[in-house]
Amino acid sequence: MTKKKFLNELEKKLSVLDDSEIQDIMNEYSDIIDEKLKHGKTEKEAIEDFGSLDDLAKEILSAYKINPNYKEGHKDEFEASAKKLGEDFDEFIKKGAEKASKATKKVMEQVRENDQEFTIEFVFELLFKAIAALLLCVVATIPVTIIKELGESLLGMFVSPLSNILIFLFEFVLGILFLIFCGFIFVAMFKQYVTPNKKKETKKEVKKI
Amino acid sequence: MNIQFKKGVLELIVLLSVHKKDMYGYELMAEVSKVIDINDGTIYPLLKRLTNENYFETYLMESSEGPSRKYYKLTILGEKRMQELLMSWQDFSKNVNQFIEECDK
Repeated sequence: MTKKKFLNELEKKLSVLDDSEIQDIMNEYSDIIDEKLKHGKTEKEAIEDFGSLDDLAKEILSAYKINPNYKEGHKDEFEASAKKLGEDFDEFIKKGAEKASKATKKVMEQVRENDQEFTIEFVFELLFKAIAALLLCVVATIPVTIIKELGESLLGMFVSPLSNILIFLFEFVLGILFLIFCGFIFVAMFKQYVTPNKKKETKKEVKKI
Repeated sequence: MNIQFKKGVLELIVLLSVHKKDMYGYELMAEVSKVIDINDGTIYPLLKRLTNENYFETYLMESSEGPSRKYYKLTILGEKRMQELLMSWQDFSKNVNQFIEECDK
């Protein structure tokens, strides 16, 4: 690596720092390399002496973490807890993604066991079924809304706040029933892909004979 | 030489070196290398950290050999820190050496 390339790469990795700091660091490293050249090393050797560029950049950046010895302790705590929050959130997302991919893999396995190939046609089949299921749910909101309106006007005849409580409970129950209904539609649509195919086993037995 | 030992004692050696006389980057690296074999990539970030923590002051000085150089100089805080580390090290190495002697018996 040439001196120029080394300095460019290093500068990139330190870009988060203030311009004046970066300039300061670049000058220092440039001077050090020049000094080594004067003492007979080649550019390559001078740069190799620094070790891994990544590690070097990390070490330099770590010098800018706020020192706990400073009295500006509160700033540290805030930064530390904000950082922790970000890390926790990342963990959470990662775990969720892991679980989701495991569940998907299981489903895919099951589908494969049923001798169903993952062709593009199959994917479209699934897609259309999903859209159809969604449409059914949307259509279903019509009767649900009607029932809701009726319920509201009926229950409104009670004295408030009793009527408010009753209406709230009613809508809550209605909402849950609606969700169950939608869930049911989806299960019905997609059950066939996920349950083990019993017919296959008898076919195998027949072949053995 | 053991890396852990080197890392532990590096700051002390750097502070002692600059205590002897104000030094610039390359000079300091050469000085420290006389005592322990350390990766160049570790020293400068350390100098940066010690400067950010106010143990060092820096100033530029014209050089006859080329561009002006950045010199490192110990602050009062830095002197204190050096004394602390020195005492720590002396206690530490005394205990370790004592223990080694006892084990040999």
